[in-house]
Amino acid sequence: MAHRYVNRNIGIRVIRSDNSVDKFNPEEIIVSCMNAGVSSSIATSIALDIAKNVYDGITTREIREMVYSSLRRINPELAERYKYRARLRVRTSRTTLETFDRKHIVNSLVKETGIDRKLAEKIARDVGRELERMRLNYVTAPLIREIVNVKLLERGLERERAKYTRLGMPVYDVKDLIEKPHKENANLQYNPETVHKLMADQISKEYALINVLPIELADSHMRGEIHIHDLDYFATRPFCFSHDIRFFLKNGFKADGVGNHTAIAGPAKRPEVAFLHAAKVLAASQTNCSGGQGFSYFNTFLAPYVRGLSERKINQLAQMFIYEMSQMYVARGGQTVFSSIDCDMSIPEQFRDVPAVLPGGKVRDRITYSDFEDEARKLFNALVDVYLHGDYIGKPFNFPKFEVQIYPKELKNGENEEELMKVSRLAAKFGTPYYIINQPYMPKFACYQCCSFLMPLTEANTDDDLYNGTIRGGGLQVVTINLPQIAYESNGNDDKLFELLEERMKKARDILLLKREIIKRNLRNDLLPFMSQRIDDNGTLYLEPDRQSYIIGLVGMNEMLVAHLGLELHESDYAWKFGLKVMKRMKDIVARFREETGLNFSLARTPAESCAYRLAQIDLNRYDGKAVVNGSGDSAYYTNSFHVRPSADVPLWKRLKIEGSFHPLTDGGAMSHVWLGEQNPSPEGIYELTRKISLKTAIQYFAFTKDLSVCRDCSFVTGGFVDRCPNCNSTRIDYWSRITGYYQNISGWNKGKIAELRDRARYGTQGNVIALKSKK
Amino acid sequence: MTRLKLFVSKNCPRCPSAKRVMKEIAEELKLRDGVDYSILNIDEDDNFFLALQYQIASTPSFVIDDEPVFVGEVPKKEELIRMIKGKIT
Repeated sequence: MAHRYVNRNIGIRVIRSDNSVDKFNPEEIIVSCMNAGVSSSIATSIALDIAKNVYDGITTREIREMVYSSLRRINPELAERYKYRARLRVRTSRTTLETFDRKHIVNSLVKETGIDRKLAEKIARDVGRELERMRLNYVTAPLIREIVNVKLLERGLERERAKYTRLGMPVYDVKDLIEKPHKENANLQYNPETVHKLMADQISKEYALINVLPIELADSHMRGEIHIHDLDYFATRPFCFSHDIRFFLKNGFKADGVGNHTAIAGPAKRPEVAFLHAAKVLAASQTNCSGGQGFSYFNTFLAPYVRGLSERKINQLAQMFIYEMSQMYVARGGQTVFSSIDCDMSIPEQFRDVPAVLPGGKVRDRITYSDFEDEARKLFNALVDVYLHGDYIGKPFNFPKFEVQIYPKELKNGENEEELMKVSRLAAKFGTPYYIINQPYMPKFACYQCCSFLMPLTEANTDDDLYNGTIRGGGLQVVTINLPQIAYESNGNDDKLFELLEERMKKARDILLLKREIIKRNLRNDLLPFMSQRIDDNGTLYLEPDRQSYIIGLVGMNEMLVAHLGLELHESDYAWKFGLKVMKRMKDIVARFREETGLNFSLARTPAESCAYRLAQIDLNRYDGKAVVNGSGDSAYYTNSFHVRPSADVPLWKRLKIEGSFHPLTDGGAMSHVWLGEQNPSPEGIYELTRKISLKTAIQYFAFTKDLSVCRDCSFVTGGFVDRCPNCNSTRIDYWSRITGYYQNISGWNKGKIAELRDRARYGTQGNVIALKSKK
Repeated sequence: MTRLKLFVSKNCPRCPSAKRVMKEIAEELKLRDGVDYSILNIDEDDNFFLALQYQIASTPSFVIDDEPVFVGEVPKKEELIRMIKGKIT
């Protein structure tokens, strides 16, 4: 026991090395001596001795020298150790320089890992000895932490190590990110926001894998059995969301959800304000969500706001909104908002008798949306006109994604022909529109969100939502199943294949349920202030986790069939049916999850921009000789979902029929692509093909993808991939195409996607195959 | 496989009347069950996959010569007869 020390030197000031002034406290001498291994009685007597000799204004350095010479007289070895310890400075994470003190290690170990204090003290002593051995002048707190981690691992404390470790990046990578201009990436431009985003992504991704996901689920992702999408946002954000602009038109708009950090706007009275609020709603929600943000029934709900306006004025409003969405370069680290608008060519049936939200947020029972048929149509046409024009230099707008609702019945009756023809012109020129075909098997009331996720709004909403302006919903998280890997593991055995399929899907389910807990907690903690806005007096949240979609996707059906049966999807009726059998099994399992949990689990075609590549790369390494991939080496990739192999030499109609047969099984949304090969396809051809796909296939969502070349020198835009600009002869060309769910500059695509782009079978509107011209 | 097919399912409210139409036509045109026409229940996997291959996901649906002619609806007897005659004879 140390003697109790009576401080008689009150009033004596000590000047520290950073020139700060403190009162002399002999206890500090005792502690520092004891840290060096000096017994408490000797430490106290040295402290008492020194206390007699200190003067007002003495420096800490002088005190250290006095302690050192006193100690030297007693025990030279201890004196050396004291000297070293007294000199060793730690650069802390609080950006201060502090003397090394074992106590900090002990306290942090107990607090962060929950181990008992005695063990923590032992570890801290080991770490002290380790540092001494290295004879350093200063250490950083992260280095000490790493040494502690090594000591934890030496004792077999792996779980504690995972809790105690730091997350981050090697200096080399950070330097690279900041100093090395990387090739411009379509999604992420080289700018300071991106640099910060990429650093943060790294930490949050590691955090999810090390600390949030149980090890068996994290490993399943790492082994490529499954792919957890947007891992960098796993611990923080929900995925995508479809909004009802009426909620904001009625109640006004708070960009931060609460109004503490931003100004509060009332219900829009003027058309410009209504359209600007719409743009800002998507930007605000993007700060809380990782995936796409969109509006359903966009032109229907904004129709009352354009009443009485000239076509020119309406066109200007449409233009303003589209420019806002394609120019607000502020989302998720310097990107545009991943936005979409669902539009109707006439007022949809279910809203005809719903009282409309009018300028100023007013609602009158007798004025319903059916009274705004003309305005909705005008706004629809204005939007298409703006898209058709392109931006100032004639480049297409890639955001907001433009989605057109098609009702086969209306098509049969020849309704909205003019509008559909205009949409066809847009598809022929830029490939912009996405077609939502309301097939008889689909929920009456649904929207497409993000890349191609079908949100059954019927499930997520009540009649009250329909009337109150709160039709909303989204996907909380997506997990994709790697189908080919299941085939490699089951060695041709059907039972084993289905057994593994179920096992992997259960892992996906567990991850989705974990995400639900995370989002519930984040909403409770007000981490997602925009999404936790209350929408009524009952405290209903804007995002209700239990009403979201829990999405399970698939990748590589075609390669799974090759590995399992030796046949591709398009090669035999047997393979096609077996594919349907697998899909049906997945649908049944998802339905069971739905029953068991009461949550809206769904089966979807995932966009798979990176996972079709990542999983193929993993499998090539793990199943050498067995893996069935498209392309080879570092360009190898899997075919998206249940799609026919992109390069398969099959007529368009067969491709669409095979894919169409899977669409009804994909209750969470499916998409098919028609890759156009003509430089200037005829709008009439597109129109006819649209009719045919809508009426003769079970396809629920599709788009015509037209490759585009944009000259860097004169900005001329031309269809197809050309090596030289037809206008100025420049060879500096940017290439644009649709990745899986939206248009992008292909320079940012991964090697697998580039290989797929090259492989794609392109078609004319008559269904004929057209070869790719560019040699690049 | 028969040239005329009717896809039905267990819990489909309009399927009984579609079957009735089919039976009446069969009698009138002297079509034989299993030879000239068949009624296929999509609750059985094989039939379901066949329906999907025809792009059919709702019942009742009629297929003539591999082409869906009425999907998710019950045609009038005369309509179906016209369709059959147009396609088959």
